[in-house]
Amino acid sequence: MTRGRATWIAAAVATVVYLLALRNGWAGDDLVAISDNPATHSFSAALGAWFEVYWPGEWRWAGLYRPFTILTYGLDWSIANGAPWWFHLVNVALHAAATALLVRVVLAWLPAIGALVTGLVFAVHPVHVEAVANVVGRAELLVAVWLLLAVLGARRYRQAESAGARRWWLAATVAAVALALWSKEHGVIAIAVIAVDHALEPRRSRDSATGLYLAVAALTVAWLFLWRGIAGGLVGGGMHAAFFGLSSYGRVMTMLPVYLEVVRLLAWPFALASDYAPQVIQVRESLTLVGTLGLLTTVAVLAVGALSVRRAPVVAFGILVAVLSYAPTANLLVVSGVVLAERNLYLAVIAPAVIAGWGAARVWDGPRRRAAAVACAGVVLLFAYRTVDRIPLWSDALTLLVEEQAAHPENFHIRVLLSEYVAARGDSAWALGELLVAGALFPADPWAAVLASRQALAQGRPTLALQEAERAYGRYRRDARIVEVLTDALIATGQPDSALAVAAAGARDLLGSEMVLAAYRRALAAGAGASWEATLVDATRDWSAGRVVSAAARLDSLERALPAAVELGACARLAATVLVVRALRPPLAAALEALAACDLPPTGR
Amino acid sequence: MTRVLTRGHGPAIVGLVVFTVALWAQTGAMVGVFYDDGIYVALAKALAEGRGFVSLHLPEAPPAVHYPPLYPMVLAALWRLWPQFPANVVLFQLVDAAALGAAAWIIAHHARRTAVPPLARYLALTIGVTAFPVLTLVGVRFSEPLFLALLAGAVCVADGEEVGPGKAVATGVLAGLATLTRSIGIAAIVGIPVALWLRGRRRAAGVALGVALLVAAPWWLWLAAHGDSVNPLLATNYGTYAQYAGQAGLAGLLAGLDFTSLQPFVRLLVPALPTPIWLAVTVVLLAVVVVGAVTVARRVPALLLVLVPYVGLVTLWPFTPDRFMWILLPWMALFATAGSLRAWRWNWWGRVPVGVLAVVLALGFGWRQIVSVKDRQFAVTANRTSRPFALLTAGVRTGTPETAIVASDGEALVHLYTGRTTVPLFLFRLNGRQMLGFGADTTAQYLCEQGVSHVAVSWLGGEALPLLDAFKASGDSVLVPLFTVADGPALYRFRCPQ
Repeated sequence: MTRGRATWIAAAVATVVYLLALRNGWAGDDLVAISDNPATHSFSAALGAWFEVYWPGEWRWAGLYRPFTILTYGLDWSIANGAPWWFHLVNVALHAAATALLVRVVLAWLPAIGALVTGLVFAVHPVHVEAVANVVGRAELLVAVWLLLAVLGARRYRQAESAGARRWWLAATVAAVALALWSKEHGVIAIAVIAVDHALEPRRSRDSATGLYLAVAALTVAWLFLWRGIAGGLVGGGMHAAFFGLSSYGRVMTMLPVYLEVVRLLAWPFALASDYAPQVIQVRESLTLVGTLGLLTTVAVLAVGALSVRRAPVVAFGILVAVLSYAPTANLLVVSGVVLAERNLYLAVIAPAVIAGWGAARVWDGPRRRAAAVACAGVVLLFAYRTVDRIPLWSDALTLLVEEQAAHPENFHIRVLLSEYVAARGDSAWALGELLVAGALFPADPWAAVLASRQALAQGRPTLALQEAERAYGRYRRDARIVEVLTDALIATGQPDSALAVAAAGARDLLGSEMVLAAYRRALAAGAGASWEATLVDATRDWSAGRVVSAAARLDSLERALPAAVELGACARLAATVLVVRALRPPLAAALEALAACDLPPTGR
Repeated sequence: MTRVLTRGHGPAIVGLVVFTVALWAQTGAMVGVFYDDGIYVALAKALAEGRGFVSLHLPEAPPAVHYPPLYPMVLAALWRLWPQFPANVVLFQLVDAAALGAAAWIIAHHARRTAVPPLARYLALTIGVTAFPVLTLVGVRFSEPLFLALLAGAVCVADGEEVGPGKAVATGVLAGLATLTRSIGIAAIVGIPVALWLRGRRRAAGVALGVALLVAAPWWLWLAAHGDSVNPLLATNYGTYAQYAGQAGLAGLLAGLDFTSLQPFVRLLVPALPTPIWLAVTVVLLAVVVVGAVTVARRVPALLLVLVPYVGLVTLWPFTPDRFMWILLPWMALFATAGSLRAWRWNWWGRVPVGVLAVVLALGFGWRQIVSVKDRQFAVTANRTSRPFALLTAGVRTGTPETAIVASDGEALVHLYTGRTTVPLFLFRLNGRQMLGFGADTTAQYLCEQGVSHVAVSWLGGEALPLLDAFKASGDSVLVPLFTVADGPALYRFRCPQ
């Protein structure tokens, strides 16, 4: 077995095992990110969106920035006119490339047979299906390809004899890191991955690689700044529902069993899920037995990584890269938008793959060679079977949702997604049913309740709408969508005074929210509220939207027709609108406070 | 760490640290809160949109003859890359931070020629480049970071061991580009050839001078062609520097010999102390800097011979923003370190003043630096100025027609964020070193000539109140308030007084 042959065989297996994916269409996030996203519908549109966040429209809050991935979608669309098979073909090619590159990387430590087994396990590992057979998984594939290329480039840089060659490899490595960063946020681990490889390389280079590290560090810092600048306050805005309302301690306690699940997925990838939301993952606020097991497993994995630095550096490499690649979504220090996603384990699969490759290499030259070959072939075949079996799950959106719902009926989030899917196709009754079940499965999530309430209102079921809205409001008050839906539900059930109180409190808590102010105005209209109060709300809406001249004109009219008295309870409601009056007409603010017989709290501007 | 520094990566590490700090120092303030930054970006917009080097925000977009074109050209290239303002400001911020990091790298690389030990010089330079006034500068869109990088590059090449024709061309190009970034870069066009000449590199001196003049010449030709195209009432902010100096007169220039331009340095470094002590400390500080400069003079002659005319120009120039001096902080820190180390070797009479100076600097600059960095005070002014402008521009955008011509105290800012044609509300001229307003009548006449329809001020106070009161006194309908915010901005409809 030669090094080249090992590389080609692994890449070929990676290609063949995923050929079925070419029959898949758009599924899951493909619809939002690609098929319905104008930015991906031509190369020039994708290029024009280079400085745009990854998710379009209302999904912008997720705060991701992956312009190179978008560019590849745009290129694909231009080539194949939007035909999904071409997108899938590119994904398969990228998976094959990543597999081949992994083989090249581990050949530094392993003989060809060990590298081949590593490549084969990586190629057919069932956890990869989500990343490879679903087009939006491309970000994982791209970042893996560029990171592995960066590792190989950094090696060549360290080994280069001439200054010219060093400069070339420096530029090549930095370019690979840049493309990794622009492919997916996980590119930030590039410097650490290069350092791990450097520390574990069999023949330590004499020359320092400080220049390379400085260049990669500068690039990473620049990219982080750009990311934050483009995604703005959106970064980190996509907290997963499982963490909603949880303390940092509770989050860690929830995640500890997840770490155990991650290790299980890498070692025994037969029970899989496309969505790990409650109750597939259970929210825990204290240390449980399974949490303790998760903690012990995590410590054990790290210990194996540390202990194998000298004895089996390739194993240490695999484990450390797996830990590094999982770290950004580990929810330990920062909260991410996912609790667990199989696509995020794409690079982490390097760990079981190199362990298998290292084990195979150890026994290959011994008396148990045949047994080792049979064991390896068995694992690869089993994994390949599970992979091929799972690929059709991603054939289209409905198949994915329905089959996942059947496989994981305890998953509340799949039901929310299914409700959105069927609602968009006009089956509102089915949608409401799914949302109610979702709420029953995971009552802690207020957003499913908001959707259910809206759906119930649309279907003329105000009592149910109010019940769901109150559940959301009980969970969280400082969100415009919740205030709006509760206000509307109260109006619909004939309680305009309560609606007014809720909307005014919301307007006070969420100063300047157009959605809440609109709800406030509806509440006033429903209860035939005082005209002075409506004028104030309209002025506040103008003020919040920057229509300052219009706001000033409204206050002028109010100043001319100041009410003789205001009713009881107006004081609390005035707090929502006092900012605009204080800013534009301080005497009017004083007059209203006097009429309402209250001192309103100071407001910042 | 010391090993890494001495093995040649020290300058790159300094550059990376400064780059990172400069990125951290960026603010969310609007572009134009410090006036000049808005003009730079408005010029960049004009270039990016193919309108030429003109003041796009002014009526009839006259040619720009006040601010040199290189920094706006850099911003214009970025604008072309990402034409969505203000979202694209993040790119401007990134490039400014990179320029400051590059400047720090080059200065640190150049400082290797001095005999100052690596750790001391890199520490001093890092402190100098990340001093809070510099962080304020890099946090808004000023040309100083780019200018500093080009100036440092020019002197670094000129101070090199072998200055052949290639390096002479390189230093000339860099000096010329520095002059295209800030007019005061002419100090490099003068100082570098002199330094090369004194080192006996006469041909290189000639080449460097010729190339620098060649690079800067288009800008001077542009000034010669368009210098008179600016309304004389706007000469202070939009005219050429020759017009500016002409307003000040010889007396205005010579009055600078009281060295008030150096005061910001001393105020920055030395805490408030009783006058005799303060003076004594100041003298010691200047003496240490001078000793340091003399100590390193033989190794970095071009640097010294550029800084002398630079400080001379700043001293004589009738209006000197402090920021002209802040960018010298890294070199001042280097000189102070070299001087302190030299004096330390002189026995007790050198060590005592250096020790006292170290304590005073720690209590003065050190404490202010810590507080400024801890609370991000270096960004307070920009952020505070930004708030009323945010409201004002929203009001102008939604409350005036697109054809409106708006007179404002931040005309470039208002133009950038609203797209309206704008003019300055306050008109000044120099008299000696004093700024004098033109008065309400002249201002009103200018606004009428320009067809101003609205007046927008970010703050109803200061210079605005007497001017607006005078407008109101000239007729009931001259200024009709559209909105006025208590202690904040105001927007008026303007009609010419009859």
